[in-house]
Amino acid sequence: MQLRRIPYVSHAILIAMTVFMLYPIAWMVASSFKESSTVFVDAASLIPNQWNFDNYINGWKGVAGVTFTTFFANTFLVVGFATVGSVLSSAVIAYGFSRIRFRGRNIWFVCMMLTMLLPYEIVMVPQYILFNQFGWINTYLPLIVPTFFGTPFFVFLMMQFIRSIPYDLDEAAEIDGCNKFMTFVRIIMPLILPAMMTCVIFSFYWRWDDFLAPLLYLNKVSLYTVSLAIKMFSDPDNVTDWGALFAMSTLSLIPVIVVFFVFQRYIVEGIHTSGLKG
Amino acid sequence: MNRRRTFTVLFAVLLALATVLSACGGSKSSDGGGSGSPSASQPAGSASTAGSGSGGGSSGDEPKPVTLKVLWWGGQTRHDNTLKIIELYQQQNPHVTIEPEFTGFDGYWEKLSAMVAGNNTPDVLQMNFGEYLTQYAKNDVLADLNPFVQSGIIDTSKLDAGIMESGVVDGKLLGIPLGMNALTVIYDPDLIQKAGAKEPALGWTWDDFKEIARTVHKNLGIYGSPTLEANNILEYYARQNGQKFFNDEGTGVGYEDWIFIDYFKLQVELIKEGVMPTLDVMQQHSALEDQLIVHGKAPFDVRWSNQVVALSKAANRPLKLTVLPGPNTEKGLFLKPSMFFSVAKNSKNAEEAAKFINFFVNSLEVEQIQKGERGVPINSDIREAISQQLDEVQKNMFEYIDLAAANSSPIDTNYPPGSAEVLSLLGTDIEDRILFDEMSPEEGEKKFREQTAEILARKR
Amino acid sequence: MATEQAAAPAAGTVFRARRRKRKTGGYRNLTGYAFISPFLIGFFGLTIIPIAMTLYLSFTDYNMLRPPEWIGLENYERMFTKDEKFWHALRVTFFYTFTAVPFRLIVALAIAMLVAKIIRGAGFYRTVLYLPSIIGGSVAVAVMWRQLFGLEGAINTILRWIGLPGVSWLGNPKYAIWTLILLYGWQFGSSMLIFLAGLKNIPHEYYEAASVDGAGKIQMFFRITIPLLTPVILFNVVIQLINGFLAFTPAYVIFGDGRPLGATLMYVLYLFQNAFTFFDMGYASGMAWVLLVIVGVLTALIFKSSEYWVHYETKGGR
Repeated sequence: MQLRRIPYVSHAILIAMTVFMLYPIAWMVASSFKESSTVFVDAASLIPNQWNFDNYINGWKGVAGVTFTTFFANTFLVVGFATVGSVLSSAVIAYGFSRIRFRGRNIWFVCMMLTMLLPYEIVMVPQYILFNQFGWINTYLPLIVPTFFGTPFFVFLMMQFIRSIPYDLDEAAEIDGCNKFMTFVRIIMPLILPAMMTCVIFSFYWRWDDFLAPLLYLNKVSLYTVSLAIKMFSDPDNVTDWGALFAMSTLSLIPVIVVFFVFQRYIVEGIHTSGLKG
Repeated sequence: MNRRRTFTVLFAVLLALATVLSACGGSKSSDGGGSGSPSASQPAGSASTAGSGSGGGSSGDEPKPVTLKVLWWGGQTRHDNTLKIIELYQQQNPHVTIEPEFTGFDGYWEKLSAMVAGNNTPDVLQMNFGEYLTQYAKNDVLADLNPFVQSGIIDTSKLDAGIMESGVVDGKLLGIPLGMNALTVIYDPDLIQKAGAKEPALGWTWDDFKEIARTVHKNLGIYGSPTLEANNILEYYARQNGQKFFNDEGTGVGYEDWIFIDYFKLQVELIKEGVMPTLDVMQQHSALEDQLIVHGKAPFDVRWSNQVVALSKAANRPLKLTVLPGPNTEKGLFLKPSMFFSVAKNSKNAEEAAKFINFFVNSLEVEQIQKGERGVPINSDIREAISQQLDEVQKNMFEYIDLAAANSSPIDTNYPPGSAEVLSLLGTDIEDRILFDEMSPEEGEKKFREQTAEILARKR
Repeated sequence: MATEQAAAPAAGTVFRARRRKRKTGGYRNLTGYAFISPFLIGFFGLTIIPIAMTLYLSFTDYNMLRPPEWIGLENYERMFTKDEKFWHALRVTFFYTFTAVPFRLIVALAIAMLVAKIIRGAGFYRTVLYLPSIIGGSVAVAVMWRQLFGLEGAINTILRWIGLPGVSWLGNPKYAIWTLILLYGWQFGSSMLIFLAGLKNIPHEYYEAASVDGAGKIQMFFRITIPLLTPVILFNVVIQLINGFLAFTPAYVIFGDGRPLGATLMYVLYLFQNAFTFFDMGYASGMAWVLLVIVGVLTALIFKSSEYWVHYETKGGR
């Protein structure tokens, strides 16, 4: 494919957008270097008067002797398992819904979509009671196990991608002797890699930011995730440590950005062939 | 064919796994505060480390090992402090193991209500005054601590009697206050002096307040005062005129209409003169560290006394505290508990929990660690001893509480179910509309009265 | 394409008999259910009980501190006839959704198309443009957004630069909701990502063939890009619609309680208040189910309409 000369207009727009996208974040990062109590007094200036690394040092100390090292490690653990679980299971389910015409398919699809329509804040109390019966409180189980049963958002996304793959490929595979599962693994999965990578990115950052579920289910501080730990800096009764809050929030962005940067490549490279040329 | 079988087997295994997971951990007892019955999936840390038998037993027999779950909210400092205190308690009481649980303020109530709903209430929990206490009391979640007071386990001899009343609902003592607060006017003495106005002091009145505000506005060009949050101050205004916010039956407001109207007229007037900012300006400054006084844009701020610490730090200059304007300041002002410790009604270790709370409010060592972080201590001896060790701002706060204590009357404890909704109505709807000039104070009064009655009737 | 369509049946005729035997309904049902079994296990084991419970709770008076008490339709009655805040929240949320969602999607698509063409620095741009969405609705975002829209904040400064008067974004009920709408639009990265994936999914060959045939850029956009993007467009529209209606965290963190004057009282925010501040989980559950019905119906309508405008590459597999 010939490299097209990108008009300067596109670049200009993109650069303008970059500034617009980044300014608020730059503000947050800058504030993380300011002294806590001056954050609001000094709000207009982007560049801090003095570069204060204390916020990072103090913030990292965390709470009750549990440092952010632990919090980050915990969060990686939970998010990692949850991402693997949800993306893989969702792919399998998506294949079932989009490639196999079985009885009741539409009903189950509707059921699945309906589960997305209830806000988590409402479901969480009955869910807590249920998980309490299982004895899963104060473990990571409520955060990880449900992901292995598919995430409707991901299922739906992958369905849309699977549906844009011509059925010819499946037929060709079957002629060659594959059963449905092999067709799925050998043919379809590689083709929906961009969708799967997209889901990996989403899953990672949703779980990373998740607050309510860890709040309800984790009792011991040593199990806490980063999102929980950051909320503890905010104290309406007393002095809120804004500096530490911004510092840790900034740091919290980094893994998500890295994951994004690494995986977004596959969204591009994932399509070498459309498969049509078989 | 081979693959298909593996595939089906795989799913069968997953299914079995899920069933197994749901079945295991069924040993979790479904009642009580989770004392000493660790479920299969809980980390081993919950096993009591008691082992070493007696520790100076109370009535001569060896105390049984006990596990207490304690839940609180707060910031970093409070967590660190409280854990040190727990450590101390465990040292002095080796048969007790405490499982601490804590969160930020955000999410505390959601977590606690889920725990209660799931029958997982902690033994000792931090509680707030107001509708929280009322609701938890009404629904029988909290234990009556009177028996422990009577038997001497909780020593109330040095505890401020007035503030202890705030934890009583329907004759039952459901919470022990951990600290005291009072409404205060925080002011910047320099700004007021520069404007040539009179410095506020005990005995000043609303007329004085208006005068100072107007003078500052005229001479310095800044605002004379922020608007006064009705949720906090309307009650004070009612009380100083001998009335109450809620009526005794809990069916509606407890004041005559002119109180509400006067209160708002005062502000509407000052807003029209430009002495008080319009509401959209006030909306900009919601964080504590972002208030007008911090930016030097107003000489006053009216808050709870414990918030002066953050405010002073942000303002970075000395601020002073005084009582709210009179007449009859002493009728209006009241000491409010910053928070309580309560015990779960179905706790299996209520007595031990009570002992812990007693330790918390009656030991000097505790306050030496806390240094007033949960509010001014309610034990008078401790209060005196500690104030020596505090910094300037905190000393001021302590002194103010003494002043307030001497010039106040008991808090009104009749916060009926539904009061949270009423306060939300007042603070985010009625007050805003009046100050935005969308509703006259008279209309607001009527509307608020009607809607409050409706809400309280529904919630009763 | 056309030639391949002809080839397949020919190649398949020989094996037609065998293929038909494998494709019996029974086989299809078995494999179908096998593939979606994770969903079914999760649904019946973990999801359906809490969901059913919330429906039950909507007919009760429940404050979480003591067992629920059956009150029948009282919650719903109050909701529809006596609660003006309910209708207000619904109006606010409808306005928000039908403004913010198109805004976000159009920007996302436009930018995705820009980025798709760029080779050098694509990763960088993608990351930067995606950054806002990963900040989500944290406390940090809330503070930052409030600063941005403050009376002396960056937005007003820019407005004054270009000669427009500053606006009280946070204090004026007319403008407050726009801060939330702009926030939603600012976080378009996730939708952009999906559009990107969809765009990359369109084989270059189509564009090449079309340009050989003499098609112009606009023609290619409307004849190739859009139709082949429709599955992804459907996805984004449905998902963003649901997101819009269920939006909660930003309103909660930035404004807290629907101020000023209820201008930012999103439906789920009001629901949350009822559940946890007003101790009325039963009523909140009722609100949740009403929302479910509304969004469910809207989603169903969109799906129904999709038969007319969404183009899937598959044939027979549907």
